[in-house]
Amino acid sequence: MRQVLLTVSVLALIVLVGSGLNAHFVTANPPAQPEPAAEPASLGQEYTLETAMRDGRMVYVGAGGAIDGVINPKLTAQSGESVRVTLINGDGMLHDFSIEGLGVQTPLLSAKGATTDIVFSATQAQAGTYDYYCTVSGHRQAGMAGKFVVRR
Amino acid sequence: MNGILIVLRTIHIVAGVLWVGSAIFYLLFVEPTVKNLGPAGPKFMQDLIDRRRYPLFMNAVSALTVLAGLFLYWMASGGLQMAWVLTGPGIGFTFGSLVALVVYAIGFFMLKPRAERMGKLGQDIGRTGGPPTPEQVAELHTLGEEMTAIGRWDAILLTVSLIAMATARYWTF
Ligand SMILES: [Cu+2]
Repeated sequence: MRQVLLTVSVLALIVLVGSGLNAHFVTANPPAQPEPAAEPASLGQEYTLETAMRDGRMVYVGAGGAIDGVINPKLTAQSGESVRVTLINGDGMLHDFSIEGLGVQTPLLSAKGATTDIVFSATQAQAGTYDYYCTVSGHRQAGMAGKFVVRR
Repeated sequence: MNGILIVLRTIHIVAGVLWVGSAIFYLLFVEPTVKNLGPAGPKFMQDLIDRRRYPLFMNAVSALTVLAGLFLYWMASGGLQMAWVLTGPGIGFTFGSLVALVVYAIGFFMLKPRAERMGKLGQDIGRTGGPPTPEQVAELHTLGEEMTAIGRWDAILLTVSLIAMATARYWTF
């Protein structure tokens, strides 16, 4: 009985500390809501991706523009131009968006309908093809991956 | 979201380190030392179990590891999505979790009652003040042997689970 009580109280503490930390992280994570002043004058590319389950796989689905409805669409950008990627959590599972080689990483989203976006640009020296994917363990392998091409 | 995950991972990994570390420490160091101590052995065990509450500690760290692990598993798997379970990491984490659950059950249903019985016997012996009766010596001996045998499997399986957990994210199939 005592052990059960101990376990339950520790878990309650986890949730409390967790939600506190959560609030801290949301406010301490500017990439989630970039300051308007820090944004480049002109946005070259804007992409919106929504997470979903398709044919038994976890995927990103393009929303709007040329990538609308495309599963794990190929994203492209000119070097030097700024890119905004908006991520919409469409399935209520834990997801994020990351391009390891370009240092692009959004916060994790877990609530259905939650969104986050990130603005970045690549230099000429970074021209090439990169993988974008979800960093939650197993999600990349479960299908959440696509290509991001930086043209010179 | 990141905050909750960080806290859950911290609990899971810290409690897991204490669980696996203690199981291996018991098997490789405590148990042989107790055997070599002769008559002082049962006294040492009684103190470890009754006063230092070793079974309670093991129960708490294993329960915390399992509970935080279940939350993490549920979150990463998107609520047990087969698309995730069948990936390399999914198989690794599922395998590691199942092995750890078996070890948890062994600890709860097989090790804990024996440790408690050992503590009780030690108390009885301490209360009479005299040397233990031959029956008590025999029972302590049997309990010790059983705990060693079970503890060995416990430590081996926990190590297997630990390796699976630590490497799962890199598994490919
Ligand atoms: Cu994901």
